[in-house]
Amino acid sequence: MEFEALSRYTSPVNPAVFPHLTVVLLATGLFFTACFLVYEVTSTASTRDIYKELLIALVASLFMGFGVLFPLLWVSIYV
Amino acid sequence: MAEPSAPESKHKSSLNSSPWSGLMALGNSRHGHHGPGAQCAHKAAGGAAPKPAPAGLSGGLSQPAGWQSLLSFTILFLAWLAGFSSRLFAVIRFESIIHEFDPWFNYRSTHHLASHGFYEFLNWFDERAWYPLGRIVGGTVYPGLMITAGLIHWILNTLNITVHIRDVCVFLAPTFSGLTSISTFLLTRELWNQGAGLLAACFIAIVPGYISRSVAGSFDNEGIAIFALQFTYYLWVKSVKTGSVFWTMCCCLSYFYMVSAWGGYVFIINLIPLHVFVLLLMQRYSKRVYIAYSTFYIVGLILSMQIPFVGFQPIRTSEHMAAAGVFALLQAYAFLQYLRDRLTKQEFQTLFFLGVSLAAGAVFLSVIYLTYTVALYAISAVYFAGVMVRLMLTLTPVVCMLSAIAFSNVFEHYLGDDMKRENPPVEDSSDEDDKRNPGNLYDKAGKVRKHVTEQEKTEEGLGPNIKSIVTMLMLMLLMMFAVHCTWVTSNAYSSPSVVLASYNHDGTRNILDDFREAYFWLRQNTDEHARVMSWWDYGYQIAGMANRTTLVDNNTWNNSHIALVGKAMSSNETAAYKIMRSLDVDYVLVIFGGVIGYSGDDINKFLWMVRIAEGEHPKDIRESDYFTPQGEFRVDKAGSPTLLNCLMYKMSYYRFGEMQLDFRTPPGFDRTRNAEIGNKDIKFKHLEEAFTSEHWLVRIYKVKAPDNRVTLDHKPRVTNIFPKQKYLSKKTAKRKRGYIKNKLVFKKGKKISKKTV
Repeated sequence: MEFEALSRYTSPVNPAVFPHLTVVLLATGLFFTACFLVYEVTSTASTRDIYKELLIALVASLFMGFGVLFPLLWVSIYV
Repeated sequence: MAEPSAPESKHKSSLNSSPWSGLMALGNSRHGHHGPGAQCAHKAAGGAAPKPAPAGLSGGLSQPAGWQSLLSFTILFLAWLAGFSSRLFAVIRFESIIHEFDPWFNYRSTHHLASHGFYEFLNWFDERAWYPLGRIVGGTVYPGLMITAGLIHWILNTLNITVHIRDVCVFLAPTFSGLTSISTFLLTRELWNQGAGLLAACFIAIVPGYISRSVAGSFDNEGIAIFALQFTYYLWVKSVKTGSVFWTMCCCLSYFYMVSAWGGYVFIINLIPLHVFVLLLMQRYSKRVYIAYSTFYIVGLILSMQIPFVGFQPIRTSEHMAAAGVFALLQAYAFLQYLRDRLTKQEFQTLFFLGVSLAAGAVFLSVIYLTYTVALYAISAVYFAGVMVRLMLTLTPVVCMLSAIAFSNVFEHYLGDDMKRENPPVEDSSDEDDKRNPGNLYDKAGKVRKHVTEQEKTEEGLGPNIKSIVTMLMLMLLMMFAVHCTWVTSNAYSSPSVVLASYNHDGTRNILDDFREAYFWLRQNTDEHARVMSWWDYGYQIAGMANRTTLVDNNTWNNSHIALVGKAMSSNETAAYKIMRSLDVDYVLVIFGGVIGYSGDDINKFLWMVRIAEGEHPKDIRESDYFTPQGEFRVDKAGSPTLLNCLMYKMSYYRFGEMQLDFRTPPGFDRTRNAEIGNKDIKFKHLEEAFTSEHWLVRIYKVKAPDNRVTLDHKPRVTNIFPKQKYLSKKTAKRKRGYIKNKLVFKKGKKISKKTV
C-alpha cells in the first residue's frame, strides 16, 4: 500500500548516546530531587518560599522525567 | 498529633533526636508543626535559637537534619532496590513464570478475579477442581493476596499501562519486600532509634529466611503477609505510645488487611494481648493502653469476622481466647483503678475480695478446661517451629530487628564516643598526641580533667585502635552477611521447580521443560471438559497450566476422595478401571523420573498413596502386600507381585523395558531406584498411552471407553461334555413304514374315465 515510499524510522537521538544521557540526566534529576527533599525538611513555615519550591520541583521533575525515559530506551523498552 | 510521651514508654531516647523531628517534619511539613527537636537541630548548627534557619540550599545542607533525612531516604530506597533485585534470580535465569504448586492456584484465582470482577470472585464456586465435588473458593481462601494483585492490575490498566496479570503476580512479592523493609524501619525506629531502624530495614531486605518465601514468581500469602505484620505492629506501638483512637483505628485497618492476607494473623492476635498482659504485670498500666487495646480488640474482632474464611472462628476457637481473656482482664483492672480513686480503702478492700472470689470461681472452671488445650498448643507450637523450616519465616523479622538493635548499639558505642566528646569545632583526633583527651567538655574543671584522664588511662581500652578494629570487624561481618544472603538466594531459593535445569561438566545448561510440555499438550489436545486424574501434588499446576478439571489437588481438604485416587493407583488395572469409570476420569497423569534420575516422582511417593488408601479401605489395600517378604520395597524381579501389577507401576514403566539408556546397563534400568525393572512386558486393557514427554518425566494415559461387547479372553466354555448319542428309532419291523393320509391309490387294469385324463 505504499510501504516502499515510507522511510525507515530513525530516532532523533542517536542510540549510541543513550547510556551517557541516562547517567547525566538521572544524576542531575536525583540531585535536584535531593535538594528539594532537604529544603522541605529543613525549612520552617516562616522561611518557606513557594516560588523557590516550585522552581526546584520543576527542574527536578524535568530532569527526572527524561532521566527515566532514556534508561527505558537503553534497555530496549521502547516506550 | 500528640507528643510521644517519654517516661512511661519502653523505648530508649537517643542522642539522634534531631532526625526524629526531621522526619516528623517531613510528615508534617505542610502543617508547620515542629517539636523541640527542630530547635535542637538549629542549636547544633551553631545558630542562636530564636534566629530562623537560613533559607537556601546551602543553608539546608549545613544542618544535620537535612543530611540525616536525605541519608535515611536514600538508604531506604537502596534497601528496597536491593531487596527487589535480590529476588530476581529465577526470572533472569529462566523466565517470568509462577513457581511451585500453591502459587498456581493463587494465580488462577487472581486471573478469575481480573477477568470476571470482584463479586464473581468472592462468590466463586469452582467446579473444575475436586470433581465431582467442586470447591467453594470464595469461602476457603484468604482473599487479600488476590485482591491486592487484582487492584494493582486494575490501577495500572486504567492508567493505560497494559501489564498482564501474570507479570503483576510474579513481581508482587519483590515489590512488597521493599514495603516490608520500610515498615520494619518504622517499627524499629519506634522501638529503639533511627540508626537501628535503618539497619533493620537493610537486614530484612536481603535475609534468606524471608527471601525464600517471596522470590519473584512465588506468588504466595507470605509475600504480603510479612509486610502487613510489621506494619500492624508499628501502628500498634504507635497507638500504645500516643493513646489516640486515630492510630488505633489505623492499626485495626492494617489488622484487617493482615487477616485477609494470611492465616498467620493468629500470631498478631496473640502477641498484642500478650504485650498488654505483660504491661499490666509490669505495673505500666495507663489510660493509653486501655484505650488502645479496647478499641483494637472490638473493632479488630468485627473486621476480622468480615472475611468469609475466618467467619466465626474468633469467638469460637481457643487460639483467639487469649485476646478475649486479656480484654476482660483489662476491663476489670481499669474498673478497679477507677474504684480505687473513688472509694475508701476499707470499702475497696471488701469489694475487692468479694469480686475476686466471684471471679475466681468462674475462672477456675474455664481455666481447667482451657489449660490442657493451651498447654498442648504451646508445646506443639514449639515442636513444630523446630520441625518445620517454613515457620522460620515468623522468626525472621524479630531476629532482624534484634540484630539491628545490637549492631546499632555496638556502632554507637564504638563510633559514637568520639562524637560525644568532640564538640564543634571538630578535631581530627588522629593528630592529637594524647588520644584519650576527653575534649572541651571537661576543660573547664581542671581537677576533674585529671581524674578523668587517669580514669581514661585505666579504662580497658577504648582507644581509637580498638575502636577502628571493632568497627572494621563489624563492617566485615555485615559485608560477609550480605554476600552469604545473596549466595544462598541464588543457589537455594531461585528455582521455579516447574522447569528443571541440569548442568554439564563444562557448565552448559540443559533445561528440562517436560512439565510444561505435558500440561500444554493437555491444554491443546484434549476436550475442554476432560477430567484428569493424578496425585494431589500436581492438581494446582494442572488446573493452572492445562486448564483441565482435576480430581484432587493441593488443598487436600477431602481425605476420602484422595484415598479413592490412591486406591485406584494401587490396585490392579481392572479394579482401578472400575473406580475411574465411577469418577468419570478421562486421562491419568503420572510423573516418572527413571530416565533422568528425578527422585521426586510418583513411584517414590507410591507408599504414601498406599497408606492413605489403606486408611480408608483397609480391607482392599494392605501396605505389606507391596513389600517383599523381607520387608523391602523393590521394583525389580524380586519385588512383590502386587506392586508389579498395580496401575501405578504399569503406567510408569510401560514400554520402559525396551529402552536402553546406555550400553552399560540393561534395557529397562531405572536410574532413580538403580534397579532393572521386574515387569517389562506390560500390556494395558483399559488404558492407552496418550502422551509421554521428552525425558519421559510426565506420562499421560487415556482411559478407554468400555467395549460394546465384552470379549472373553479365554475359550468359551464347552457344555456338552458327554457326546451326542446316536438316535435309535423305536419303530418295529411292522411299523417301519409310515402312511400318508388320503393317498390316491392306483388300481391296475381299470380304465380311467376320459374326463380325468
